Amino acid sequence: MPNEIGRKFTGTIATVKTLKSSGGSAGWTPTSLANGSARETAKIDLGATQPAAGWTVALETKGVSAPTANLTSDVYWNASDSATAGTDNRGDAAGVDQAYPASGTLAEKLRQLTYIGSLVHSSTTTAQKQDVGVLVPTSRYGSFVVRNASGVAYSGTATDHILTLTPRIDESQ
Amino acid sequence: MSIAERIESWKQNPANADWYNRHYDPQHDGLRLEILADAELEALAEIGNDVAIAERLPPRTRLKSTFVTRKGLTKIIGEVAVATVITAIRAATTPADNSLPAMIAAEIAVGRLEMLSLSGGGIDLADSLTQNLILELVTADVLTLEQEGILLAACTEMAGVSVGEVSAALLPFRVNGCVGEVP
Repeated sequence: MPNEIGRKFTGTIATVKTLKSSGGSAGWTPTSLANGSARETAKIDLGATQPAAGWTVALETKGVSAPTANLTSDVYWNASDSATAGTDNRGDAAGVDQAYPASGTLAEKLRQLTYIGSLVHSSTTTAQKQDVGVLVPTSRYGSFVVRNASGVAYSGTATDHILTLTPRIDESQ
Repeated sequence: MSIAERIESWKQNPANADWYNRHYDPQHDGLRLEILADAELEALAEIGNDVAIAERLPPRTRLKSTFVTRKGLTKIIGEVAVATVITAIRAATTPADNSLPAMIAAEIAVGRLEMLSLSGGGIDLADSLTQNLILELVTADVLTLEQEGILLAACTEMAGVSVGEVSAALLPFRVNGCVGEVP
């Protein structure tokens, strides 16, 4: 009888990772991020061995006021083979929790990153969270870039903004 | 203190000046000044509510690409006017002194006008070259003010300001991409 393959969301090869202002796997502080601007996360180490099916990427954020319905916050991935922040980055990323891009035009730099997906906002002032896409690992290290195109600035409370990576681990039963 | 002085004062901080210089785009000057001139809009800019700013700004006239052929032009200003334009421009631009620069200028004007009237091709009324030509024709009394008005109306539209335009206009004041006090 053939084996069945199940899927679990935490395990020995990977556990849930978060990118947030403090206490997470890597730093990300997009407080008061203006509409039309983007902020990069610090570089994250996804691990020497990663789930073959990748990671579910979820973005949680909150506007300083109600965003326009159907406008988005867009998540991009900068893959890197180096643990050093400033080494081997795509799209001129820095691997540091800071405004993106450090130089040049945002729209042009974003095209050199890997688009993961978008949180589609509703017009509410409460926190909004969405699984925006799946990151299939292409490298051990990297950083995320989130562009706020929600129409309003993000809230000024650091803990309102979190990127969560949930491993998709396939396991034979 | 004028808005220009306020901006200069704000730029006294080197970090502000560096960000401003890297993100300043003169095409948004008008919108930027309009927002800073209004206390309510300025307050919204400081908290980053660009949606509300865009909603409060009045719609404005903007050019839209409008390609016309001779047939299209005839519909806009009339068959007689098109023919009149052709003959009148020749008469109006014939140099009285026969000087070379004046003759060259006349030939260029006629050439541009004939291009305008070509059938099958088409020219964009909203193009800056065409806009200048329309103004020249009015100045030379080839087109009436009424005809000018019809031509301009054909290539303009009223449109609201988008949230993206507001954000782009305010970006130079948002150091590190974050909202905060504006000048």
